Amino acid sequence: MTSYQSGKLGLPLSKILRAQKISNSADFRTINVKVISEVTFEPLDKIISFFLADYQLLPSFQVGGFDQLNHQIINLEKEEKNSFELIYVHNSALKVFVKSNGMQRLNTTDAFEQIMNDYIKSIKRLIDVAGRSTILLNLFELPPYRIRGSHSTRSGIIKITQLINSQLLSLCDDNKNVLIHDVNYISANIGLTNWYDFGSWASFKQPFSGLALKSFGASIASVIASFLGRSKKLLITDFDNTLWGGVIGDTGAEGIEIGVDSPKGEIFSLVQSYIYDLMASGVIIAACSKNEEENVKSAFEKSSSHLVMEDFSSKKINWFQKSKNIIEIINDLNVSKESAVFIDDNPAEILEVSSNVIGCSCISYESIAVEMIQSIDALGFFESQTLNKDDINRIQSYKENTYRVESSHSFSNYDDFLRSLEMEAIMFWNTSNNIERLISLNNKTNQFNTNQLTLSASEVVNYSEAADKFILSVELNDKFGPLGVISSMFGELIDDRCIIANWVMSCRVFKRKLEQCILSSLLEKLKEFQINSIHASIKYSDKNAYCREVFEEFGFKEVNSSLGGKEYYFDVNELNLKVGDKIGPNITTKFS
Amino acid sequence: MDQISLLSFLEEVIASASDQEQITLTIEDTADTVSGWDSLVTVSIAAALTEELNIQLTIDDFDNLTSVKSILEIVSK
Repeated sequence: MTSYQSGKLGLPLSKILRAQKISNSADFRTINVKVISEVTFEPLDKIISFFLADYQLLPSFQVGGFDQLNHQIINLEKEEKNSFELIYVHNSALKVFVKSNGMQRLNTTDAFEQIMNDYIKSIKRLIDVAGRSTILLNLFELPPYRIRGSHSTRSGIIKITQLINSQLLSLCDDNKNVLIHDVNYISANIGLTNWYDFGSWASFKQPFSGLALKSFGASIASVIASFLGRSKKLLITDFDNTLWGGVIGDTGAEGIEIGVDSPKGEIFSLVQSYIYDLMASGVIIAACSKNEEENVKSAFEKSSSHLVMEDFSSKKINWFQKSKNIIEIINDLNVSKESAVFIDDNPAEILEVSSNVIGCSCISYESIAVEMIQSIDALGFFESQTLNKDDINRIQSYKENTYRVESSHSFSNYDDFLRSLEMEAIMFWNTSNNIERLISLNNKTNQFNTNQLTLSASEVVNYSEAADKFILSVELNDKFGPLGVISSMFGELIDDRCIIANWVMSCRVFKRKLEQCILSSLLEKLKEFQINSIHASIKYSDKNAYCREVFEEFGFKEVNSSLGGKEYYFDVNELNLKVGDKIGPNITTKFS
Repeated sequence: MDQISLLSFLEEVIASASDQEQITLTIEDTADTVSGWDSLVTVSIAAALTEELNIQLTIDDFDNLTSVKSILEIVSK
C-alpha cells in the first residue's frame, strides 16, 4: 500500500525515523513535553515527531529516568512543574503484567490489581502537582494473555484493566487538564498478537512491535495536535467511487450503487454514514468532483443516500483541476491547507492535489472504500478531546456562511451588507460557565491569535476568578442564526494598566469589523476599574498575518518592534465611548 | 537482503536514532566502533527489522543486534 493510500502510516519505519529529522522547520510551533517513562520511550520520540510534522508541530521531549514515576512526581513537586506544556506518562499493561508475575506470595490477578491501584494513586498525585501543565495519559491495552480465559473478564486481569481504564477516564472527566490517549483501541485495531514484542521487552523494556510503534506514534501525535488546536477541520470528498459505486455520468443516478441493495452499495453506505457522523461531530464537509452538478443532485436525492447536497458547506462540481477547486474551497471556508483532508478513489487525482496543495492530507484506497475510513481513523485526523455545543453548531454556521457570502454579492457597499446582517454581539466579562469553549477557542485558533498563548483549564479559571485578571468573551448572532462564542480576550489589570495577554477570534467572523467593536467594549469596561492605559502585543506566527494590524487600526501606538512582533500602548482617556457606540459599525453591542 | 542493502538500511536507522546526519558502516562495525550506537539505537534497529523487513527475531537474536555482521546473519537466515 502506498503512502497516499493509507497516509504516512504506509511508510516503512526506517523512513519515518529518517524523515522526522528532515521535516524539522523553523516555522513549526514547538511544544515542551516531559515524558515520565514507565517503559522505554525510544524510538517513539522520533516517530511522534514525524507525525506531528503533519500538524506543523515540533516536540521537545525531556525523558525522565526509566521506571521512576513516583520519583519524577517528587521532582515536579519541587521545581519543574511549570516548565512543560505537557506531561506524558508512557506505560504499558505488559509491564504491569510482568511485574505482577514476579510478586511473591500473591497470585497474578491480585498482584496486577495492586500495581494498577498504586498506579492510579500515583496519577492522582501527579494531577495534584502538575501546576499549569496538561497531563496526557494512556488508557491501558489489554494484557498479552489471560489466566482463566473468558472468566478473566468477570474477575481477572481483563476486568481489572477495564476498571482501571474507567478510573483513568473519570480522572479525565474530573480534571480539565487531563487528556486521554486511547491505547486500548489502537492495540485492538492492530491486534494484541501484533501489538506486543516480547523480545524487545525482555531485551530493552520496550514492549511494542515496530507496527505498534507506528500506530502508537500516529495516534498520540493526533491527540497532541488536538490539544494544540491543530486537528483537521475539513473533509473534502470526491463523488464517483468515493461516495457511491460507479460513475454517475455514465450510468445516471439509477445505475450507481449506494445502500444495502448490493454489497458494493453497502460499503459506500458505510463511507457516507461515517462522513455524516464526522459532520455531526463538527467536521466541515465539502465536495470536489469532476461531474455535472445536475447529475449528482439526483444521486443525493436517492433515499439510500445518507448525505444530501445541503450537507456540503462548499461544493466545486466542474471539470477544472481538482487542486484549483480545493484551493478555492479552502479560501471560501477560510481554513488552512493543513487543516484539510481530501479523499478520492483515483490515485492520479490524489497525486495532482498532493503535489499542488502542499499541506492538504490526501487519502485513497486500494481494494475497498472503507480503507479510507480506516486510514483517517488510524491517523487520528479528526481527533477531539472535547466535543461541545459550539463545535457542533459551527457546521451550521459554516453553511450559513455560504448564504452570507452569497448575500454579500447583492450589496455594492460592504457596510450596507454588514448592516443587513443585523449583528448582535453579547459581551461576557469574567464569565466562566463555558470554560471548555474558551479553552478550545483560545488554543485552537491560529489566524486571529495575537500571542499564541496556550492556556490550561486551571489557567482559564484563574483568569476569570483572580481580582487582577479578566476574560472578555463574545457571542455573536446575526439574521442567519447564532454563531456562538466567537472571540475571547485574556488579560491582566495591574494598577491603572490593562495588559492584553492573548486575544483570539474565530475565522468565521472575519471582516465584520468586530475587532473594533470588541476593543471599544473593552475600553468602556476598563473605565469601571479606573484603568488609564492598555498594553498589547502581537507575536508573529506563520499563521496570524490576518490580525497583525488590529491594534494599529484601532489607534494603538507602536512602542516596540522586532522581527518577532510588536508592542503597543493605548491611552484609554483619549476616547470617550459608550458600549454600543458605532466604532464597530452596524453591530448592536451589550454586556451580558 | 544483500550486504549493501543491509548496510544502507542500518546506516539510515542508526543515524536517525542517534541524531546524526549521516554515518558510514562497514561489515566489521559493531556498537563499540560506531559513535552513537547505544542500546536505545538497538531498540530502533529491532523495531525496524521486524516492521520493515518482516523478520521474526528470536530472543537470542536480540542479543546479537550489536554488530553489522551478526545482523546480516540474522537477516540471511
